[in-house]
Amino acid sequence: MVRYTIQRIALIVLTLFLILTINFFLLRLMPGTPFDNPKITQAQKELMMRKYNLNDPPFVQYTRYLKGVLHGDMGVSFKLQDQPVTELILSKLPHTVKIGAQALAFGVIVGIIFGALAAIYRNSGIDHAVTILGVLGVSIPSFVLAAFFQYFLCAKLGWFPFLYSPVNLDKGITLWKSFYSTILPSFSLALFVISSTMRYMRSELVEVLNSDYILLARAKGLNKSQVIVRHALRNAMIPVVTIIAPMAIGLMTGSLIIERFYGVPGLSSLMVNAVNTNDYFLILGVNMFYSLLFIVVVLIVDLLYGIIDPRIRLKGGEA
Amino acid sequence: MKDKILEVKDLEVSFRTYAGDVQAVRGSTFDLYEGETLAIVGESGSGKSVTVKAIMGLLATNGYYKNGSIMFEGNEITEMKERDMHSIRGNKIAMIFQDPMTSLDPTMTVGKQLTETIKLHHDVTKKEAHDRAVNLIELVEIPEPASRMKQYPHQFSGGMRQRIVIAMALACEPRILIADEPTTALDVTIQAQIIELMNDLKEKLGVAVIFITHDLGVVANVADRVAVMYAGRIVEIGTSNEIFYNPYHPYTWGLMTSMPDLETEGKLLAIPGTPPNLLHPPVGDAFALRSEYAMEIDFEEAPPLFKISETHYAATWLLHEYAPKVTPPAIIVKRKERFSEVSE
Repeated sequence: MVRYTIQRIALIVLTLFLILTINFFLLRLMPGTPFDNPKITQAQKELMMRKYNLNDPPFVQYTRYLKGVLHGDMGVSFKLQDQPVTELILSKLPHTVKIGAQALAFGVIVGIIFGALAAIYRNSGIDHAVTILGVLGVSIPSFVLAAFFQYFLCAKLGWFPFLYSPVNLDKGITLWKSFYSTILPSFSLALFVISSTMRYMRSELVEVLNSDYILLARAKGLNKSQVIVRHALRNAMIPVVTIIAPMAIGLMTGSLIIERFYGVPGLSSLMVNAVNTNDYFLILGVNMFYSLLFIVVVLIVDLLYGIIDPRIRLKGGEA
Repeated sequence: MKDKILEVKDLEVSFRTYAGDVQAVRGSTFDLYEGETLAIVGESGSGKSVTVKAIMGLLATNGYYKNGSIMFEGNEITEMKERDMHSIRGNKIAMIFQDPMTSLDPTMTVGKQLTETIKLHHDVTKKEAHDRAVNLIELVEIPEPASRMKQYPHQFSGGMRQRIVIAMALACEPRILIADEPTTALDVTIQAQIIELMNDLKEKLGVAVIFITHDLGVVANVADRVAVMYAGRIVEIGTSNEIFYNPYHPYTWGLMTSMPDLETEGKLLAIPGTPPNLLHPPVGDAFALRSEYAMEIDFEEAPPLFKISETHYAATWLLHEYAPKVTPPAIIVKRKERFSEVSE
């Protein structure tokens, strides 16, 4: 297990390197420069290009950039007063991760619970409600949901704040208040996760409950809840864990829009602005962090899989 | 005769479906005596499995007891609450299933699955449960029981898994062991080993066994008594010798003639037609449609069980005193002759 984990981490480094390289050259292939503002004169532009050494051959720039990255320097933003990219990202990242992680955790847990209930009480009211919610959840885009929430829950009822507010004790925004403001953005993102997990969990558990080993567990004299807790849930959750990774991608793309809606000062605005203005190093940096987030989620899921399912537990380390 | 430990009387079990009620068991009557092995044989869909699942109280959610009774230790199982069944299942009546590849929980170690049963029914410490489980694995003749405890089902072969399932069933020294086609999914050499093991354990532990199978060869190896089921009813029941060498029901004749033995020559016979649809079971004797011996009354009224000897009963109108005398198929007659020569 340990060896496998190390191998995977080495692969992550390689993957990030490839992503960085491809992105670097793709950006240079795009038309225009970071300084195409019509208000800037040709001379000013030339000055800027020299300042950032953008006139060098791409390969020279690439090796220079790579050297910097290896030393933890991801370059500076051209547009945001030469602020270091790393600093910019690190200041925004927590908000994105917070909303995303909340959405994922809440979505998966609620999805598993509802899905399990639907399977256990099959063909009951709960089951039908779960089916309807599942169809709605996967078919309503998150931005429609966000608009809907803002209209009803914020504007009409006034239950929730419109905007996300980070913790700021000087302005009287406590941890709880800040958390309260993350509920709507998280939930807008989570509905998709809830419904996918729920539908998956339901069908898996229904199948497991009809399996021979469940019948055997009942024949041993276990009662219904013991059978479900000890034997059914874990087996039903194995395939559910696999869809967490693709859902994490869904969350990241979804967050680009949701962060706009709720004014979350996260990576999405940084990324969109950077792309619009050809802010090379910033684009590269944000891309790399998104990739890193995703790869880490996939790694965690793969490791979890091994923990849940003994059949694919890795050689070289028992348990 | 030994003591009766299970008494099944006129058991009827149906399943609600969208098309209507499927009458899977339509009147089974049999007793089980201490320490004996009763084999229930019949085609797929004849109600063998449903009968034993009814005894365990493990009917699917759409199944229900329509009529009849199952008496075990003075308890009426058909009327017992689910909660009370928990102390019987796995403890007093245990069950082995058909497919060992799928009947163990893949995510739990074999040891844990074994101790789970022990701890459930006995007030024991972890250590005691563990030692007991090790003994059980030893009992079913799996080498290195202690290290096997820590393994998962996928690290066992099919035959080994079935041994584990058997060990699990025996964990609480049940009075009745129900084996629902325990050898069907195994290959023939493993089948033989499992049957031998079950016979040994039966001797050793004195447990009564209900053995369900459609393999008459297996029946001959294990059973003291045999019940033949057809279309949800027990049509003939008797000792092994009575059923194999002196059957009375035309369906049993059909079964026996479709099974080759060392003396069989020429083509094997098959029973024509298919079993009836139990959504709309036929009036009268369900086998009449496929039987060349059917009489008019067979289509009007179901035959009761006629007594042939103290141990031998068959449900066919042919045994009625007004019925014409018919001769069974030649193979049956020959077998009977051979048997009487041997037993003399």
